[in-house]
Amino acid sequence: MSRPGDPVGLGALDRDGELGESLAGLSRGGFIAAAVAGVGGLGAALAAAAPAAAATDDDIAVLRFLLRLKQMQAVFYTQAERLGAIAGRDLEAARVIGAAERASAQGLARRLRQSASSAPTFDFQGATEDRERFLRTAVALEDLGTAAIQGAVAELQAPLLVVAVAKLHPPEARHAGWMRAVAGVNPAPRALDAPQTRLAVERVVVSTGFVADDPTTETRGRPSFTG
Amino acid sequence: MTQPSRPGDPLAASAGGDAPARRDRGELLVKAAVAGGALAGGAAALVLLPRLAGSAPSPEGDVRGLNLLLEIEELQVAFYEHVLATGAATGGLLEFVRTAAGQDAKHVATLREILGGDARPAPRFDFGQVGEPGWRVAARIEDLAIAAHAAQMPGLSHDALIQTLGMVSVDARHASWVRAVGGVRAPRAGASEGAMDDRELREAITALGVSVGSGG
Amino acid sequence: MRRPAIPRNPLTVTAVLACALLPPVLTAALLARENEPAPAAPAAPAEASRPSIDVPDPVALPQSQPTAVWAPVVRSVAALAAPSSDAARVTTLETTTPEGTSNLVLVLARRRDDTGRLWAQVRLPVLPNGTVAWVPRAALGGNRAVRTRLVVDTAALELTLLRGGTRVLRADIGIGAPDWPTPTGEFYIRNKLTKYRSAFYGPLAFGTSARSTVLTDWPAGGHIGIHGTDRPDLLPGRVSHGCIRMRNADVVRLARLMPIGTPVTIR
Repeated sequence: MSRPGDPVGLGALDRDGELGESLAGLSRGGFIAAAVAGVGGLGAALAAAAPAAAATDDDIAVLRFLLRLKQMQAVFYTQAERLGAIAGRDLEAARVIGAAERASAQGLARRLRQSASSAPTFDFQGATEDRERFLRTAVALEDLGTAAIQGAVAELQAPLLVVAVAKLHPPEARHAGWMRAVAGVNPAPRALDAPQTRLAVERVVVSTGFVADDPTTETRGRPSFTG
Repeated sequence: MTQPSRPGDPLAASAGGDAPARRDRGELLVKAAVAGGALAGGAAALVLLPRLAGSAPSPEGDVRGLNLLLEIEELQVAFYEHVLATGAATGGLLEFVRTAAGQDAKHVATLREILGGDARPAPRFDFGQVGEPGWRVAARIEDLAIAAHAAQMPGLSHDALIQTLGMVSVDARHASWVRAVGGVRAPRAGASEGAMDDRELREAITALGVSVGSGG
Repeated sequence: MRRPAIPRNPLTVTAVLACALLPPVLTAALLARENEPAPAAPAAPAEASRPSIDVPDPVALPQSQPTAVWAPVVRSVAALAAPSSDAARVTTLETTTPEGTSNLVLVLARRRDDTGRLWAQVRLPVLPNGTVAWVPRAALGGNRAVRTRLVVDTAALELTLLRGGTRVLRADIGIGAPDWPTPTGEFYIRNKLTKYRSAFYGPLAFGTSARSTVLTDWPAGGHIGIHGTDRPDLLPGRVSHGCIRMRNADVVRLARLMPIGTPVTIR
């Protein structure tokens, strides 16, 4: 488990080969709570009328929201790749897109410098264990990510962050087009992609049930083993 | 001529009306006297404004950036019309070309509407030297819009960036789609996009065999 | 330059699409809010000068496949002899262990039945040792993968921890005395106990899915543990009631290297 100050990147937490699939962290409710609440205490007092030069509390909340979304995508593809239920072109897509999502998550985590909460536990409820469900879920996650990043760009205030997050958008849209093509559905269903608000995306995420409670694997108490 | 943010912006129209507090960046653009129109020969059709990559957003940046994107979108539309005219595309490629042509035409219309009088006249494109106008060229042309936009991002106002993201996003979908049609095995790797300034775009278009002349 | 009439955001379209493609919606009972502790905040001047997001180059996963996948049991469920609702019941799996931790199972295989329902074949912490059965995937939580394996050699009286096939730890052990043999077979680590006061069990203990075949009326089912000892002078040796005993320093090292869910081969 990472210590305060350690980089949060998924790779840095792969101490034991778990590939960052699960860390102690947020419940489903906390996913929303953290997404909508500002970090608090950042202290970047800025004139309300002027564009923010530094990241505001809201900016940090947006980045944390994006990080959790990226973590979910990253773990989804990592699991799909590892569990062996997909092959061929599907597997190749999971490998390439998964690597990109892991990289995006690392970039966001580094930017947040461990001020972000740790990653939630994810239960994809079979979506990483079955080809058909993998494809459908991948399409949904990439479309959701595309809309979420677009909405985040609109919401951010610090100019550098606006551009930095905007640069995450085209790769996400490429992923969306690719997964749709692999799934056999129209890769570009609309002439213009539309943004979604942070809260709307969080509601969709929570509705999936993918954010799970962390299992309790350690406890205090005298063992009752045979000795 | 400028417009303030409209109350019915996309984020306010979300379910539950829970739009985030969007800071208006002020006036979107002022009319800028954009030099241009008379383009040099060959492939020098792109907006030949002084290179201001990495500079802060400005009205001039918006006009320049949006016109650059407009010309790439017009290139896309013209290319797809050319492909359809040749009758060479069939099956999945034909389906892609038909869809992308219509969607990129929508991008052109939207950009022209945004730019209003600041929109540059559409260039004329000649694809006679392109060779096989197949999926590879289509993929490359879709990539150009993404690369152009990436280079212009720092100079675009927040509003202009928001307005163009949804178009370039669809270009990115197109880029993946047509590669899948072409039988590419895996999606394009990378978590970020390369940017191309106007000179690099011009060179890339020339390399495709496309000739660009001034519009009528 | 004018701004166009921006079309109504098809937000609900996207949300509906996402929901239509995804598993059934969970209830709003899951939306219990909780407060997060405020994380440490960097100073404002440093924040202002922070660089934008620096995304590293994508890196492929290591090629070595996991040695095992495990999942928690999230609802009490009948484990069946075959991936079918009509199959015979092997046992009932509860959601917690006697120690109060989440009940874990190793996932060995998956299969869809004729109705499309996904089943998981799991290794069970029951007697007879080595029992496997099928449970509905929906009764399990998120999958976790591990790349470690623990090999216990009862002849050489040593254990070896492997990661990605490479040895990362080796230690002398004590195993069951002849009257209380340590069972052999395939098992897994299912929990870790710490912060208890017991010199007998050492500083920490791992619970395994292995069960004693002779101490069947032992409290909590006679599970075999891997733990420290207050009698390191007896190691290596056949000295325990079935558990695998380690010197305290060795079990502490093991705890740093071995994740829960690690498969255990006792031979």
